[in-house]
Amino acid sequence: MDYDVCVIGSGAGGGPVAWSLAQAGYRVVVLEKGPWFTEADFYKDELACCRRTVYTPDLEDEFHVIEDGSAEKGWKAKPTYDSGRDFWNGNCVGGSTNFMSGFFHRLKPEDFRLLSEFGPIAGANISDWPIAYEDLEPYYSKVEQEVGVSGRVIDHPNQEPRSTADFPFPPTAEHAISGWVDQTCRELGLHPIPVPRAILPRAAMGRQACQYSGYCGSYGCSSGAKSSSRAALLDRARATGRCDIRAHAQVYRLESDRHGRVVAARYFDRDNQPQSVDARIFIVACQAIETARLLLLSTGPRHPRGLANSRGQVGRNLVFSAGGAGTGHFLYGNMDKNKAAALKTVGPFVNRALQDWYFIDDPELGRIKGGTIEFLFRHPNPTGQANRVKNSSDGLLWGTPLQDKLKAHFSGARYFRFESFCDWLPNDDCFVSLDPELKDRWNMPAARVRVGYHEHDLKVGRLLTDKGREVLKAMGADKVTWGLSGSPPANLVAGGCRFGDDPETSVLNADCQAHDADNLYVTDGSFMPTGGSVPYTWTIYANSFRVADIITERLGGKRG
Amino acid sequence: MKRFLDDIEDRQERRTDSCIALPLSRREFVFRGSSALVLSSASPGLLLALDDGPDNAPAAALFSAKQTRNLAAVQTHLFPATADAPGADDINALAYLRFVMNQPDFETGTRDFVFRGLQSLHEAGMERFEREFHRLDFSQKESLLRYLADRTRWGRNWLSLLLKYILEALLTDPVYGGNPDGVGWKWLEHQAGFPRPPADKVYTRLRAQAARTNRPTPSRSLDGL
Repeated sequence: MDYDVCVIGSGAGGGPVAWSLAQAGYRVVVLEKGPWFTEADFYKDELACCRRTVYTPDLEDEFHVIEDGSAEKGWKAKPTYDSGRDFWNGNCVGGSTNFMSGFFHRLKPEDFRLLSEFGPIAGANISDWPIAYEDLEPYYSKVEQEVGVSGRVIDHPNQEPRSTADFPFPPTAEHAISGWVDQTCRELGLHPIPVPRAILPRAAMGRQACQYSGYCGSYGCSSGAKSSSRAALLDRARATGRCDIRAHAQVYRLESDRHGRVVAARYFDRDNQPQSVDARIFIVACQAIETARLLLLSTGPRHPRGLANSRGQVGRNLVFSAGGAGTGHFLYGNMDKNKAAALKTVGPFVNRALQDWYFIDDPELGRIKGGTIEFLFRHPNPTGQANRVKNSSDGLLWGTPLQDKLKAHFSGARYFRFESFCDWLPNDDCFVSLDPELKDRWNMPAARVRVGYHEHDLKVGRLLTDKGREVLKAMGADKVTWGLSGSPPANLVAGGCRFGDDPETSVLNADCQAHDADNLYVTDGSFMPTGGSVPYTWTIYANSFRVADIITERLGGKRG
Repeated sequence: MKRFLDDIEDRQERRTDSCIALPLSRREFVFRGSSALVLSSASPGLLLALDDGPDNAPAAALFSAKQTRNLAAVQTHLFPATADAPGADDINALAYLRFVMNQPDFETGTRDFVFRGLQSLHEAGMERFEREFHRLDFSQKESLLRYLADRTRWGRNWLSLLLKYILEALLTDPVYGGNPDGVGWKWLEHQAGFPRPPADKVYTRLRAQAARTNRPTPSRSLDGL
């Protein structure tokens, strides 16, 4: 046996199990399809970050097929190499956690029992979780400590229960506008909360403090302050001497025996040569879409429809994050010089959100689940902004009209945004399957993803977006633009292998162990039956630590 | 940060500028180089045909002297120097475009589109004014480019593509050859992030560092391993 545990994927789902099990004395191998970048490779370079393909595959080589439409109008499939609609989020050691913004929120206790709390909604496959908030709470705390979460606990109406008094790291430095948000929201009778961030404000655990360059989300962190799975966990896992990390390892199949147990992970190495590794336990954490794809690709004697798919549940009930967004235009010319100077400051974080409408009593809709409104500045990437400026309602701009508009856009205002996060209701039209025709560079069928949403999501998103607009207007924004869409944000994806007590309607049991395969676990966001109304990363980290404890116990507890 | 507004727009743009209006899928556009295709035009003089395969793409020297004169004239017209703003020449727009087009990740189809657009522009200038583009006066250039942008899909896409790389030359890191001394950042009062990329960590180097080798996947059955 090569290893005790083989982990496929190295992001938020893979890092905690790899580190925990290596620390517990077990031999672990992590197979990551992408390369291994470190802090020495990350710079604030818009081309590398966001305008060229560096941290994700070329879409000509590896792609998804996205099915858009509706049950009424029909579904139209388009490969992402044609649409440019990239569903990769970061394929390198540490996965997309390298590039996250690190807005960290816990779920609320009610998120674990959405069906019981709010009842069924026609056309939605809502399900309670098989565990409660109390089961996950110790691991949320563990993430704060071991991965590194900074913040400040305050009393607010929807503060979730905590086992510790406060965060182990104080908040990151905050922008002047955070105070303006606080003041405005309080005047409106609201309760602004300081947003926990997966960013270290001071050096700790062998990582440097945040440098406050103003370029965080979408960028790899040059200092190690961002709590990526790589910086926070995998580097430490490797330091135990019991964790091997194999970059460029594209797993194409999990081999299973006649008893249904997984016996080997087959992968292509950097030279595109097939390799194999065996282990006692296999953990899949490739991010929801690719996890489902790998299981569907991994047919075997006891798994003719794909690994752990005897009931056809793998890939079903994929969820994203629903909601909308808005932008307030704050013109420097309409405020005093001191305020303008403060607003122009680049670097410190906003760190503010509202959860006053996490639960809503609506006269029309009744008591419903609402969500979170997150405040942030518009992404600072200048070339992306400039390219949008060149397109006007009158046609393509150039010459002095373009230059005047660029000058006004960049020098005349700052753009302060909100994004609303609400549940993407699981439904029969949001799922992963294998494309019947199109194959990737290794001749493996691509994932086909139908991205249907539930109309209820738009109603909740509209309620939250209206609230966000009111706040921006009350803050004095000269103009507020906004949008609401059923289009899925590719970087906020979960579900597809939901956990539950009933094997007929779930892929995994409460331990995130496959109902159909005794030595197979899934620890990325795939396990989530519902997503909550916050970004998922903290919950994925926490659950992966929880499953690590379960597996450690199964293997015989901590060694030596 | 949700990736479905600003960021998705950026990513879509970077991949579709060259072929957004083509009657073919993007993959067909890139790989079906041998079929003659009329893209779009309101004038018979502005037909743009893809009748060369990717192998016929011009060599690394890229532009002939005549092409260089016309291309520089287009860039200068699109982004002129003013008392306040740096112009195409000040931001090294032509050199930057050469750099971009010489990279291995620059798509063959887009590369071909740049050259075909130049040829069509030349033909349009000759047809309308009987002069090469770079010899036209300001109002002639403006009327011709505006006509192409507003009345032809290929013209709009071609000019949008050139503008995209002009704006990259204006605002991306000077390590890539545009935006010398941060002239574009200074003009727009933009504060760049830090640390900035050194020459050995530019995206082309990172791509090479991250790349798989090109050895083909074995054709034998993978199940038999």
